Amino acid sequence: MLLLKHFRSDPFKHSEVRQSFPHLIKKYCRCLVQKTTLSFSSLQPSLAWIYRIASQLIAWRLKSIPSVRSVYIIRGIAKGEGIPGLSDLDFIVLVEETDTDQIVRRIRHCYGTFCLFIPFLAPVRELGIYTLPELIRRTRENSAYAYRCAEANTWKLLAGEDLTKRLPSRDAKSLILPLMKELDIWWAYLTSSLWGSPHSNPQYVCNYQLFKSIGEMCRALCFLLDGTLLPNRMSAISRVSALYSDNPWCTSMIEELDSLKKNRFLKPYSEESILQGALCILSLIDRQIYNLFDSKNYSITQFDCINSNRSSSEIESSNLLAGVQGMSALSRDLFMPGYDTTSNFKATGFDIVLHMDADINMFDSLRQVHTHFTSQGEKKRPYLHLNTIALPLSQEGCSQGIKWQHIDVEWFCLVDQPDHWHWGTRRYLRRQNIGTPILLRAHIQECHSKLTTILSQGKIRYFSPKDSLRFFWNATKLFLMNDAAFNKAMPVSLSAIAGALAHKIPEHRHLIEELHRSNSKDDLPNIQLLLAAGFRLLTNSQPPQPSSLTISVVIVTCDRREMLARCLNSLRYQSRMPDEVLVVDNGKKYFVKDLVLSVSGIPNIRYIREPRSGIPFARNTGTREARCDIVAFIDDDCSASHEWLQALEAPFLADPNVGVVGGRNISMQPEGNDIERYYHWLVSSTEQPQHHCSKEILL
Amino acid sequence: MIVQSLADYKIGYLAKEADSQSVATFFLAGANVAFRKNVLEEIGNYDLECKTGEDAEVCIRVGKTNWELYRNISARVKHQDPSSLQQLFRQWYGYSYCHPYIYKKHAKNVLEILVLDRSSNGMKSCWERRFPFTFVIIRSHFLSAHIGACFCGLAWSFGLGFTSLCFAFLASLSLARYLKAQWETFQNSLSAPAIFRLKIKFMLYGYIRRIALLTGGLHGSLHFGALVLNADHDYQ
Repeated sequence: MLLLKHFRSDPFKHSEVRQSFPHLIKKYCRCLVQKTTLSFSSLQPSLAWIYRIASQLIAWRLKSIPSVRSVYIIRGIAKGEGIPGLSDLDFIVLVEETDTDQIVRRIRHCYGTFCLFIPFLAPVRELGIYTLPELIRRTRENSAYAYRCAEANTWKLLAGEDLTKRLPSRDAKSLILPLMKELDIWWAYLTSSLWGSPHSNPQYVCNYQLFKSIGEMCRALCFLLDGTLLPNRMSAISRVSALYSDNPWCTSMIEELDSLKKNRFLKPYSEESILQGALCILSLIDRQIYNLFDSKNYSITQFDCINSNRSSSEIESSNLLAGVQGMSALSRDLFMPGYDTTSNFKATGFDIVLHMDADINMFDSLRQVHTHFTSQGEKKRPYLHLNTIALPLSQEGCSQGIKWQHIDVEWFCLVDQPDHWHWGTRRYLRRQNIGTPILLRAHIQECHSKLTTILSQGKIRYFSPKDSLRFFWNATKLFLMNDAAFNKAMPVSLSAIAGALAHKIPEHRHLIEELHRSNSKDDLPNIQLLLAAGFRLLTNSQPPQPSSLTISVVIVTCDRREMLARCLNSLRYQSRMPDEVLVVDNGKKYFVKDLVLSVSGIPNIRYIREPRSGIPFARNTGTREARCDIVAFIDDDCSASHEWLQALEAPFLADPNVGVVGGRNISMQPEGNDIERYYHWLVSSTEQPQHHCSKEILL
Repeated sequence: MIVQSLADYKIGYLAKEADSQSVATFFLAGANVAFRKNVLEEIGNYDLECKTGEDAEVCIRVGKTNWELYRNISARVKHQDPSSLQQLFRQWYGYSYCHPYIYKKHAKNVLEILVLDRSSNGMKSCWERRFPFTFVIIRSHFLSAHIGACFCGLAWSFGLGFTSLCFAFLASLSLARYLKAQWETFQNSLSAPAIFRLKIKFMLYGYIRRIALLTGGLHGSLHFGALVLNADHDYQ
């Protein structure tokens, strides 16, 4: 009961993390949606930091249980050297109570599913043991205590030691709060590193496997904040199940939640509650995915399919969820970022796109999907997209399966998706004694040969140069992910990519030549620029035609250097690049000429100084200096979205009578400041029409 | 808001078609707007007198020509919000400081009292009279409560006990309604476990925002010679 009593008095009651946690989740979802290439080695430092802090927090929590006398942690973890995973947070806890079994059970209930908790508990009062060396000595003396014994020097004391007096709770809080802040900072750092530079990366990848791996981390944070995240558990459960009530993918989850709901005497902080907290977080993330589908009112229908990777008993026991696990069928012009093919799917002219993992044997499912779509209306032409990363052998079965469907699949594409690399596959590959890069390489070779055979056999009616470019682009992403040695064995060499790209992007030809000459990945900015250009080429459904209108962007700035840098950075990744960028400096103290001149990736950037103070002066100067047909204004404290200029240009192109086009201003995510949060609320409440009625009285 | 009341003079100009993506509109925030260059040259660029609200002023002038204004909501820009109370106050003060100038420039010699009804999303009534100077009050519960309180104090100082009581009663009614509406808005907009302290803070910030609007309007009226009282400025 001591434990429960402690947890009811919440130590993180006033912590900032708790208050801004929904925003963190939002941030996190955003970064997941927007991240393109991701290797875990790049995340390692920040993840390790987060785990380090998390371990300290857990230790503090353990320490604040009244019967716990001291907490030890593995030294490497304490330094942040551990690899993020399930078995990282190992503790030794010295407990004052004689009833060790009970306390082990309690602590296990709290943290057991999360970390591999080593129940190294010793009843101190009974034995008179107060420190770890003593404990180790005693256990060596007395074999009756057959606990697992670790070397003393690998363990570090995290809390406790001075056992005569306990830390007052205020001290503990003052220690925990900075830790929480640090956690917040590192979390932000992690998200930013996931995201590239903040607010800049235009590329959308929604990677479910990445979800899972980082979902672990999310779960860890949930553990740290358990209870604090969900003050009202019952309402949270009902909210989640209400969210998912119309989602056919999540029937099992809803049942689980319903069973939780029925159990009204749910013990606080039991395993279920923790699971459910984690579920809540994951469901929030899932909801984001689901929103992508749901945003255009498409129905999502579930089909059964058989995953050849699983044994038959597993198939019997668990009804596979098609959309998540392996296969999904999307109707036309449903925007689903993350699959390269979908973004320019409209250009192919097909009506249905089928996403499918290659290890799935789709005996009847494709048929079902096809009939489902055709029964709704006119005949639709399917288009098949295979994720072939996992198992090269099963591709045969897959293609056989397609034949059995007796459906004329007109378009067939094997696309390598390095982002779909996940731990399960890696484990599988290890079991097969196949090294990762070798298989990847072999796989690319195989893909390449398949592609060529398919091309030579003439099965594909339509295979545009854009698709080959996409293939090369994926290969380039692979190249960036792996080391330079990879380049040698890769059938699609960098020079080939460069050749392909040079064919497509004449304005970056010099870059490509340079790249080709140096043949290394040291020149990362150029490669990134190249990739951005390639991506633009891929995502545009039409090839970028020279539009009749030219746009110059005018940025009025006034002593706000960092914000201006962010704004300029956002302009670097526009889907329609500005023809000219003018920075009008209206500042009094700090001039930004050096910053403006150092920016790369923006064509025709100019710096103009306007000494007369005032926004109209600066705007008029910008208008006077602009040489293009359209003058677009953006403030220095804003950052533009990826398609900003394109969206601004569209009405001008559509209608010659349009003289002025504006957009929508969104307030940035509040960073924990109450005033920013107020602003966010103000803006969002004016945007949402359902609050209109009550606001009417307010005015 | 200000543009909305002025755009009423040009009937037929609004809402070309109900399209969710891009709609004809009458005010576009200056942080995120694109002009044809010849449009700007035609209307004579930004008004240099307008230190703030120059975007609204330019939009009014464009609206008087035959050019159309469009809003494409997919052109999104993230805006950095003020992060301190001082910045908040200064921003809203600045917003309303130049309103008298804009009103004076575009609506001369008008006594205008606007009664807004947000549920019908527009104006319910508008009285226009010849008047020696521009005098605009946008009525809101906030404003009426405070003006009522002012009159109450005034009447009390003249020894009019019953009148002051009447004013106080009216003011308290308005204030109660205002506070209730605030409370309902919070209840609606924030999720259930939102913190009580935050609600109170939000109310405080809303109060400060409105005070800033009123003081800015009063100061601007001293400077430009037109009285515009407005406690109801939408965030754009």
